[in-house]
Amino acid sequence: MRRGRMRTVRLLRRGIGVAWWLTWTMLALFLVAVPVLTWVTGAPASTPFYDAAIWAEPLEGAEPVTARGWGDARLYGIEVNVEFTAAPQWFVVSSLAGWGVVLGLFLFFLYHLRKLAERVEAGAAFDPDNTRRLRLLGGALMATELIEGVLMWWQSHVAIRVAESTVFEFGRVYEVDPTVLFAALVLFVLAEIFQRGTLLEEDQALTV
Amino acid sequence: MPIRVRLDRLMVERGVSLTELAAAVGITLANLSILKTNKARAVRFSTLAALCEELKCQPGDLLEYVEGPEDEVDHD
Repeated sequence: MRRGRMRTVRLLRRGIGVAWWLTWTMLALFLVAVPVLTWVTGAPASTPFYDAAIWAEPLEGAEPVTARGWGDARLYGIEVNVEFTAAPQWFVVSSLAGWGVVLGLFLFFLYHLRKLAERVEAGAAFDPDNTRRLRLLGGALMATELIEGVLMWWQSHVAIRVAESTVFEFGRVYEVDPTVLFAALVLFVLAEIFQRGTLLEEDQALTV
Repeated sequence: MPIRVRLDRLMVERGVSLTELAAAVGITLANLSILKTNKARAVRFSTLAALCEELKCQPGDLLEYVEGPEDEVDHD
């Protein structure tokens, strides 16, 4: 592999390595450091999983926004986060479990991406394991996006039953980014290309 | 693979060892062994020409078509 390309691959591998260790560090901080600090200082813990993203539309007659010299302005729908300070345990636990699955999938994705980058840097791009890894990466990416979307929908579904407002009307949020799904499909296609590459490399190795 | 390489027979007839032939032809012993044991998927014309020159034979003397099912995985 030429020197310039080696440098690019090495940079990519290091970048992925940084993301991998950063994620573990953040997880360790959240799971260990925050509870320990909370216990030591006696301060109330910040609880990001007690909140949910919901869709808010202003009630008829309510005017939450005006325009200065730009005619009338209308706020017809925004996504907001609503935080509950005393959410029931089943909501907190199930939300944590859901986000735990998402985080687990993300770590799974990073792990296999790291292995893929290491094999490419070692000059074994068409290692048969890499085809399998690309399929796993595509699957993990798709699953992460879909599970996250379902989780947000479910959290908003529960939250809108409880939240009340004199200004807004609430709705459920369901966010699945199609570009992420297309990226997953690209990974599946890449896996097929790598499989062809593996066969071509085998042919080349057995060409005398 | 329906194409068989009859290298072993020609080597015996010419009294040439695998090591000597590999050195003379300019390919590695491992590659020559792959060819001799019919594990090769393809042969370069340059390799075929070098073998024919060294063994003083025609390509048809080296290669033989044997009818029957392929014993290798179909790539498509």
